[in-house]
Amino acid sequence: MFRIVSIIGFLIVLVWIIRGFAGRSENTLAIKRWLRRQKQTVFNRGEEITSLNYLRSFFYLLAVLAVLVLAFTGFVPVIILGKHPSGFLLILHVTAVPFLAVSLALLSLFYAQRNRFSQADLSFWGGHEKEKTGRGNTTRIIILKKICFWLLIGLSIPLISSILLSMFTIYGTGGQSFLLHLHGYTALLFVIVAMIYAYFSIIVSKD
Amino acid sequence: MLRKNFTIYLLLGFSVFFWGTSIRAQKAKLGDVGDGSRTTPVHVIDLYDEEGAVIRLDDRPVLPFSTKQTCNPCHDYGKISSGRHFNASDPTVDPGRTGEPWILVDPITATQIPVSQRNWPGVYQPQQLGLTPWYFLQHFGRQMPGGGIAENDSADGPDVAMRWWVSGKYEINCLACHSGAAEQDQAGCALQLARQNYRWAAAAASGIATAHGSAKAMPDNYDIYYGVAPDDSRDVPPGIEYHTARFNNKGKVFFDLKREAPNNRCYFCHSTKDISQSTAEKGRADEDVHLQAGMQCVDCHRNGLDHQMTRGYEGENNNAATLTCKGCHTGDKNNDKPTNGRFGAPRPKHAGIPPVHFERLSCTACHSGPWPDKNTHQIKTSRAHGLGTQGIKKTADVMPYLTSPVFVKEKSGKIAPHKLLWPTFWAFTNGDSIAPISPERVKPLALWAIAADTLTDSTNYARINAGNWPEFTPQKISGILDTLGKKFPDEGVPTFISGGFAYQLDTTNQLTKKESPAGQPYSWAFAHDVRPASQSLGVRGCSDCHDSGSPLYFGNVTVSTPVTGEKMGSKKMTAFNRLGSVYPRVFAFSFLFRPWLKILLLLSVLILSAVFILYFFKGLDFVIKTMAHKE
Repeated sequence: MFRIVSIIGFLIVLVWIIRGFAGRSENTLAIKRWLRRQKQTVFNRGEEITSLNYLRSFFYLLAVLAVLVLAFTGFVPVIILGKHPSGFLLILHVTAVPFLAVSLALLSLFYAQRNRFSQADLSFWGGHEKEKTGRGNTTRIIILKKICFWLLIGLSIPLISSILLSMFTIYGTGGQSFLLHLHGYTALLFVIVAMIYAYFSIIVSKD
Repeated sequence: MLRKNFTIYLLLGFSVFFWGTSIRAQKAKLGDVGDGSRTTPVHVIDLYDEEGAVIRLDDRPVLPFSTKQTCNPCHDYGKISSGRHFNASDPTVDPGRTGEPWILVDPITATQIPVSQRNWPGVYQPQQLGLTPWYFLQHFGRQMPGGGIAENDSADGPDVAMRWWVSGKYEINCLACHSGAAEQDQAGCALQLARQNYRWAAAAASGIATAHGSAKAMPDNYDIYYGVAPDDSRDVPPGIEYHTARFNNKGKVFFDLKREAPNNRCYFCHSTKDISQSTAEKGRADEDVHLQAGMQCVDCHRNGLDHQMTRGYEGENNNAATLTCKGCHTGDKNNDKPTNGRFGAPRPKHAGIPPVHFERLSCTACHSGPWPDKNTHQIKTSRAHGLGTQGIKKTADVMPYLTSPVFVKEKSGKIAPHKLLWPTFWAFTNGDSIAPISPERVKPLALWAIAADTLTDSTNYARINAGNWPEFTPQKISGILDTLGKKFPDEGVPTFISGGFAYQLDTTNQLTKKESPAGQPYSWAFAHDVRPASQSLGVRGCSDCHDSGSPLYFGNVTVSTPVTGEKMGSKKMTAFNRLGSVYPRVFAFSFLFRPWLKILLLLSVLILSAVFILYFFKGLDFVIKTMAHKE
C-alpha cells in the first residue's frame, strides 16, 4: 500500500513540476540562477561573513544532503524492492537522521522569522490572488514557499517524534506499527513538500 | 427414449451414491466416531494375537497381543499408520521443515551422520548406508513407536528375511503414546527390541505381561509355535507371561488409555539434556512455561484420526495456523473468527520492539531454548543418545555431538534457534557426488589404525569405551584413506568428511583438506523449552541482541571433529544466520550511539515544536488583532 501511495505521490509531483517547466526557454537559465543562489547561500557570497552566517550555510547544506540521503535510503527500497529499508541502507539512513534533525531544528531558528506571514502577504492573498503574472506571481510563489517552509517544520515534528517514540519501550506491536506507518507517510509528505519548495525556489529565481 | 435413459442414469447414480455411503459407513469404526461425550471410553477389551485369535491365559504357547489385531476392531489401524510418526518412508508425504534426523553413530570410525527416510536436505537415506528396515530398526527401534518400516519386511534383503519370521513385526505400539499407566515401560520396550523380540515388545512394555528370552539368539528356522528342539538348551526362546490378575473373569484386560497422549509418553523420544549448563542437573532445570501452566504437548501438537501431528511451525502444510505461537498468542489473520487467547494465551505487548523483528525472527528466536551464551551448549537428545533407555553412557562426552542454540536463517527467511550436528563420516567421492560408507566397512581399518599406537598410547581405546570418538591424527586419516583406496579401487576417491571439510589424498599421497558441502552442518529448528516472557531475548533492551558481543550474532558455534589440532574449534554465528560478518558488527556498533541519537532527536523535536507553536500563536495573535481591527 505504502509503495503504491509513494509511487503515485512522487509521480504526481514530478509530472506537475515537469509540466511547470515544460515549454519555457528561460527555465535552464532559472535553474542555473537557482543553483548559483544555493551556492551563494552555502558559501555566504554576497552576505556579511559572520559566524552565524557560516552556521546557517553549513546547516542548510547539511539539511539538503541529509534529505537527499534519507529520501534515497528510505524510499528506494520501498519503491524498487517493495521492502522496508534494511542492511547497510538502513545503517546509512539512521546515520543521516541526527544530521537532518539537528539541521532542521537550527534552520527553524534561523529562518522562522524570515518566513513569517506578514500583513502584506495577507493583503496580497486577499486582494491580488488572481494576478498571476509578473510581480504578483513572484509574490504569490514567495507566499507558497513560506507555506512549504512551515509545512516542512510541521511535518518534521511527527517525522522525528514517530521514530523517537518507537525507540522507547512505550508502544507495543500495534503502536510500533502505527508509528512506522506515521513515519513513512510523513516522510513521503516531507519529501514531496521539499521538492515543491525547491521548485518554487527555482521559479522565484527565474522571476 | 431420452426420458427413459435419463431415469436409468438417475437410478444408477443414486445406487452408486448409496453404495459409496454404505461403504464409508462400514469403514468408520466404533472408536473412531465420537458420540460427543468428552469422557475417554474405558478400555476393557479382549486381547488378540497376530493371527487374530483371542488370547486366553491357558493358551500354549501363549502369544503376545498384537496391537494391530487388538485395536483394529475399533480403530482404523490402516488410517492411523499413515500418521506422522509412521509415514517417514512414504515418498509421497511432504517432509515439511527439516526435523531431527536419526543419527548413525560409530565411535570407532568416528561416524556421526544424519539419516532419515524423509527427504530433508542434508540427510542421507538409510539405504545409502546399508540400513535396510531390519538394520534400521536395530539401530533406532529403541525410540520408534513401531509401524512404518518396522512392519515393512518386504523391503529387506534375503539375508534377514528369515529373521523377520523369528522376531515378528514391530507393529504400531499404540500404548507407547496413549497409555496412561504408570507401569508403561518404554525402556523395557527398547530392551525387547534390542533382543529382536519385535512381536513381544509392545506387550512386554505394557505392564500386563513379562517377556523373557531373545529372538536374537534363535536360529533362522525358529518357530514360535514349535519352540526350540528339546535337546537345544543353549538359549531361552522368546516368550511372554501375562499377569493373571490383570484379566477379569471374561478374559478381558483393562487398559488405562488416554485419548490425549500424556507428556510423559512424549518425553521418552522428545527430551533434550543441556550438558553445558548448570541446569543439566534435573532438579535445577525449568519446564517449558506452557507445561508449567498445565498444558500438555498434545494441546498444540494435535492430530486427528489420521495421526498427522501438527508440528506447529509457521507455514506448515496442514491448515493448523492457529496452533502456532502466533495462532494462539496474536491470532491467525486469515481466520474469519478470532483465534488468539486459546488456552488463555496472553497477547504479547512487545513494547519497544520494531515490527521488522517479527519479519526477520521466529518467535522461538527470543523465547525458546536456553538463554544463549558466548559459546553454544553441548546437548543430548532422546533420539540421538537413547536417553531413558537402559545401559546408556551418561557421561558428557558421548557421541553424537550436538550443539545448540544455533541461530540459523531458515528457508522462510526468519532466524530461528536450531540444534546442530557436524556430520563426520567416511565416503567415496565421484565427481560432485559423495557416497557415505557404512561404518561396518571402515571399522576394521579404523581399528587397525588405532591399534597401531596402542602400545604407546591407549587414550583412544579409553575414549571409544567411553562412547567418545578417537583422536585422528592426519597420519591416521591418511593411512585409512590409503587403505580404503587400495581395498576398494573402483568405488571412488576415499574421503573423510569432518568439521565442514573433506580430507582426501592427492596424487603424491599427501593429505589435503578443502571445504565441502557434504561436511556442512545439519541443523533443525526447535521450539522448546519456552522460557517465561520475562526471560526472553530483548527484555533487557536492544543490547541483548545488538551488542557487539551478543550471542545471537556473535556467539561461537562449536565445531566438532575428531581430527587432532582442529578439535572443538568454533565458527561465528554470523556464518549461520547469513548476515555476513561486517553488517552485524556495523549494526551493533551503531547501537553505541543510540542513547545520543535519542537525546539529539528529543532536543530537535523540542526546538522544532517550540518554533512551530510560537509562530502558530503569533499568527493567531495577528489574526485576532486583524479581526478586531476590522470590527
